[in-house]
Amino acid sequence: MVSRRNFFTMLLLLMIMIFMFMFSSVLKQVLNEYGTNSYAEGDLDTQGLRERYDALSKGLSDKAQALSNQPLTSKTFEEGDLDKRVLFLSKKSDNEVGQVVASWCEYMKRPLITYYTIKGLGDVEFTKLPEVIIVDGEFVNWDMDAEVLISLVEQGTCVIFARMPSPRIIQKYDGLREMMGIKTVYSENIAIDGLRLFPGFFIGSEEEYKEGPGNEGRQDLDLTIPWYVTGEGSKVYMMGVVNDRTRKSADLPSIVWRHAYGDGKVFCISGDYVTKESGIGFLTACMGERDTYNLYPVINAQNLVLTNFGGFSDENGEALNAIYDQRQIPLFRDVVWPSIVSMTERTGDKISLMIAPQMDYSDDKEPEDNLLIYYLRLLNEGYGEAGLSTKQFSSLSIKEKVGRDRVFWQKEAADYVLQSAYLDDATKYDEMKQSIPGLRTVVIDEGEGKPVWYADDEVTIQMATSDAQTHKFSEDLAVKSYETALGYSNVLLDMSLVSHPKGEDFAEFSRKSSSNLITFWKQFAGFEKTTLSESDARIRRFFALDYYDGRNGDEIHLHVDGLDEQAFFILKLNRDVIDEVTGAQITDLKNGFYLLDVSEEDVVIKVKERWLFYY
Amino acid sequence: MSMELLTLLQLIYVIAIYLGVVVLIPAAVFHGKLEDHPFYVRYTAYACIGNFYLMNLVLVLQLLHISNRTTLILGVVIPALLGIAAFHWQDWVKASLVSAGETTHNVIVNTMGVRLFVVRIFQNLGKSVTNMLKAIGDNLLTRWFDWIGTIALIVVICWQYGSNLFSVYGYTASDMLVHNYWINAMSDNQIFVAGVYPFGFHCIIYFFHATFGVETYVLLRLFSLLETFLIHFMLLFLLRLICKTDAAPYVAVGIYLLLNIWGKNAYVRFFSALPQEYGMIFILPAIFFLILFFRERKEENGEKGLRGKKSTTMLKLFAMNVSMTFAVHFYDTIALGIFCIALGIVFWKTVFHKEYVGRIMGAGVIGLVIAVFPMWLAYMGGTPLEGSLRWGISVMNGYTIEDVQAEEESQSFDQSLAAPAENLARSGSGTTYSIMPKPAALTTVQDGGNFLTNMARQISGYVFIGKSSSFGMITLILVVLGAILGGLTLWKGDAERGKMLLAITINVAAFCLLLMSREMGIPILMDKNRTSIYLGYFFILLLGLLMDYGLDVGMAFLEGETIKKVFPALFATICFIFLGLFGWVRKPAEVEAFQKNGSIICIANILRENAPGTFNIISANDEMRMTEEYGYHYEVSRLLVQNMGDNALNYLEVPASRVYVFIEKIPGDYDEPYEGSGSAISKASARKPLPFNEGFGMYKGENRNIVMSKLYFWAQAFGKTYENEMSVYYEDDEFVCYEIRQNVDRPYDMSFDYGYNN
Repeated sequence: MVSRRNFFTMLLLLMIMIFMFMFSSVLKQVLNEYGTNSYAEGDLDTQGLRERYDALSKGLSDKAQALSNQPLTSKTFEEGDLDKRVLFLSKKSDNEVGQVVASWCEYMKRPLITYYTIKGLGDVEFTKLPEVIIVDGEFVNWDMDAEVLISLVEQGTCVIFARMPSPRIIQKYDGLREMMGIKTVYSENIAIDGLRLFPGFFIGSEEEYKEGPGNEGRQDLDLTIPWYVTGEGSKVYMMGVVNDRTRKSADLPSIVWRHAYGDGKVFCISGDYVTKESGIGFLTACMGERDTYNLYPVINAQNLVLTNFGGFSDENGEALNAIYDQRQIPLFRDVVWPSIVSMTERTGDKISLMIAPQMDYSDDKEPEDNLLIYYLRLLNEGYGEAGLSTKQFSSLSIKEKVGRDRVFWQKEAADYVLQSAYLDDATKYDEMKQSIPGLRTVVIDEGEGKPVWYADDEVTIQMATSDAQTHKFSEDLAVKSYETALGYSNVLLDMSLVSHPKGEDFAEFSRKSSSNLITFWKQFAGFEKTTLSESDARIRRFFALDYYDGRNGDEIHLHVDGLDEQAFFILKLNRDVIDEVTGAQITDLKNGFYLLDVSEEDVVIKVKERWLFYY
Repeated sequence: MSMELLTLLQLIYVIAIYLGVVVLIPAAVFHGKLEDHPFYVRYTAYACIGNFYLMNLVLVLQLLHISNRTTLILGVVIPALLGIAAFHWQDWVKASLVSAGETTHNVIVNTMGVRLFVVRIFQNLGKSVTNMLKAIGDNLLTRWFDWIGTIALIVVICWQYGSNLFSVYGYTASDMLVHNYWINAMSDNQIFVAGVYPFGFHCIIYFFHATFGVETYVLLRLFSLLETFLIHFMLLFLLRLICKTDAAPYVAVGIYLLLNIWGKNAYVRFFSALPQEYGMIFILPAIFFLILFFRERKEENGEKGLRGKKSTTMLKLFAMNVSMTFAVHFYDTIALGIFCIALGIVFWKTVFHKEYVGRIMGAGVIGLVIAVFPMWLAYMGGTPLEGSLRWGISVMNGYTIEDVQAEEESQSFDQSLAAPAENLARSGSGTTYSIMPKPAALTTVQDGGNFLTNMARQISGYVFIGKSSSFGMITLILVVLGAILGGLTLWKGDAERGKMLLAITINVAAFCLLLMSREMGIPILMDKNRTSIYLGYFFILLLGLLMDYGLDVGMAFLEGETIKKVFPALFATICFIFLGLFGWVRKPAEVEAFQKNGSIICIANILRENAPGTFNIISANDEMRMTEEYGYHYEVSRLLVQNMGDNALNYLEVPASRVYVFIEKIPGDYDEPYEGSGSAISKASARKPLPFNEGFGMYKGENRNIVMSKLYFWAQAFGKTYENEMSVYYEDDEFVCYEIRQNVDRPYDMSFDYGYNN
């Protein structure tokens, strides 16, 4: 028999318990402003940032133009001009290497001056030497330029061979070969078994790009290469590997290396790595190994974009029923979404959800009510952002498709500002832009172009840097390269493969993407996870800033022009460690790389030599 | 953390683990067996058992090739537990087990709460601590004089022999590296890696290295102080045993430690952890237990009775010490043998009594057999004798040190043709010190004069600081005085005291003669440098006993025990203070090391920062032995030869992700002075041809300067090419260490033209 007093006590406790559990859920429900896009930065001065970017681009271009138009003599070079000038030596500057070099100079805020020949530079004074010369070895008149280049390197210039001269040229010019640190050209063209990337060149771990257990089907790198054997004074960053274990590592082919020659340094990149846009990372990494430090701006954004996210209508029901015994709506709501949330909880990614209310507009399956609110609420709870996807299996124009989707949006979440969209066909950008007012950034698939750029005055383009479903060796190298150059990655996960499967079920789909995202992005945990709107803001700020840096003893000074709230820089230290930083917060990215979160225009980084524990 | 603090912490740790294993564990097992003896007897017995057990445990495990941390720990812990159970079952083990069982049962069946159980534990612990503190307090009150004396001696020993450890970090004797090498090999169960050699010292160092993980180089750096403590305390304990007064032993040891009369020959080896000095701690305990054997036998049955248990214990301890002297260094056995002969002469009536002779001889022989048998077995198994044994035998056959060293060098030269210096286990025990003095008497001994004058000069030159023969003459006078007093005491009827004085006198006289053995044409048992160490050591025994006689007579008029203790001690203290004011108290010697301090600082840091097997040190061969078990070593001679002219390698790799280059900016001469000794490295030296093909000689004298100069300019050239990859790891005025960071899978080519590739 329970006494009345005890009964009331128990009842009270019960009520408190119920209240405590219910309270948080009710609050979540009531306070969740899912109808608005919390990542839409209303106070971001997009116009001002764009204007600053235009002015900066014009300034760099004018500077380069002015210098390029002058006859190339020692008088061309004035002190002060030399800060960040890049000389590009190529008879064909508009080729793929030239484009990569141009992109790199734009990102690094360096004026680019292209020369067909550098013969006139032979008598430049030591103090007026160009800091770095990037050479497209395939398009140089070596009879004319070899001696001058050797002389410049001897005097202290840094040369980066973005593309190597042909092995025959290298064999022909002894001085050139010696300058490049090549002891022997073992073979002009030979098949190797894989590549080995050493730590410290790129941000991230070392890698062996070689087929083997756990790496089946990942090899897609060009393994037929010239076999250069390097020797004294060289430091190899990437080398070829062969299955013949009796061969000494010193005899293995060097792929990327540095050679100290005279007072200068020569970086050689053997292969076509700088013919693709991801080559900007190779150029950045070479600059990072040139001096005691290297400091450059980055975006610091890691996006995970789920494109073509369905689950709003019961399209493709027959096929899905056959595989899952479920319709599309419950499949996405009960299986796909929890699985994705579980994955992002492990990776820490923020979800950029590019919603496709319908993929097929020819059937009568319309999107169901309340589902958009349901997903927006979940997104808002889990740090995500929604955008629109343009992919479809119908023959509607982009304008028509977006028009129908916007009707659906207006009905469900009229106040939600759509700032991002996924465009599966980049050629239809103009059509899409007109259809989505207020659009700020567009994601496109992996392609040939730059990773980020201004499509026009209002919109930025963010190209996918990799696909979460695959991670071949070339993709891994590209990811490392982009992360090193820009601190940026934009991973796409095409959810239309779930709503409209092509052979594999969601379990396999999920296993592959989880495994890739969890494994290969762990090494870049120092960078910030962002949504598309966040990364868009960072890209705009990145484009709008300019900077100057210099070292005075154990102090590295950084001045940032055009700082808007925050900017990010990467500092590569080759000998020292950080002692103290003012004006920025610092994150250790390992192997000598540090990420600076700059909040003031002037930053001072005090470095010190490593101290001994026992002294 | 400063190196001074590190050294202090390491020193405390080393002393703690040594005393813990060698003294406390035997004390736990044999506690109560020697209850009626004073502390110093018990301590000496436990230390004797501990050392003997450890040496032979390691030896057996090594011979079985199963020596490692686990077997060593089990080999100590299991017998210790069994011993405690066997010897103390009725005392307290059984009662404790029953009590623990009951308590556990009570806790399980809930008749005792856990809280009460915990409270009981703390109560018992508290009771034990209180009892211990009370016992210490009581002991302090009753033995206050000994406490003060002991603490004073510890302070003085720390001052005299410890301060050097905090300012000089390297090895202070040349052959410590060789011992380091032999001890390292024991990790691979190779106890006689360089040939048959007394193993005792190596076994002890190896045990603490393998069991407690203390690096061998740290043990060898610091063990000298522990050895020196024990050497002096054994002297004190024997004097305490045979002296009548309390003050004489302390004053005598104080004179040995403090007075500025001793030649460096007599004590410089105490600054280094060497086998001979470690073996010295077993010489006097052997005598100590032999005397106790005589006493116990006399007490048990008169001189004619049957053997008793206590006397047998003393005889066993005597045998252990005899065994250990041989197992550690045979010179110690020679010294002990001479002392035993002196005792035998004086105690001839007792020793040659049929009840004694067999037992004493048997104990001695058994002790020797225990030590010799494993070495004999190894020798018969084909392991050759180690070089220093041959060296010792050569000395006994009449060769001079110089002859032997010359022979050694010619051997080294021959060997070096086939092997780099790093592979040479330097044979012979021609131990050298950076401050090894030339004995003053060496130049004057041939100047004529009679035998006694010559002997006095030799004693003065080798044992004392005097260039004249005055200290030698005093020694001889004291010998005569000892003989007279001993005879008188015997005549007066105090047999043991008189006999002890006579025995010590004969022993000192024998060592005086040993110093003159070459001149006298008698067999040379050991070289003069080493003879002088023992002579100085035994001389203190004679001095102590004579002082005891003096104090005994002088204090007779005083009444009261306290005043008899305090007065002479106070008087001696005042004397020491006055002598100090006049410069007669010696300052701690500044013994230089063969390695620069920077080198040891770098090794300490490198071992802390790098995982085993991930670093490589380019240096002369010194650091190779110190870091052998942890990383790789690339000998500088090899590097320079592989960079030289036509010998230059096409691609020279020094594998490891971290490479450290040790360069002496002011190279030492390794006890081979030359015209430019002490000069810095220079381009002029680097230009000279590389002095290769001379084995260890490559790193001696001027050659070391040439090698280091070349290495320095090699490093400069390398650093110019790899400015980001090479940085200064440590630098001071005399030493610099560069750190090279490289990919272990694609090491840099370290063969290049650095301008001095000749």
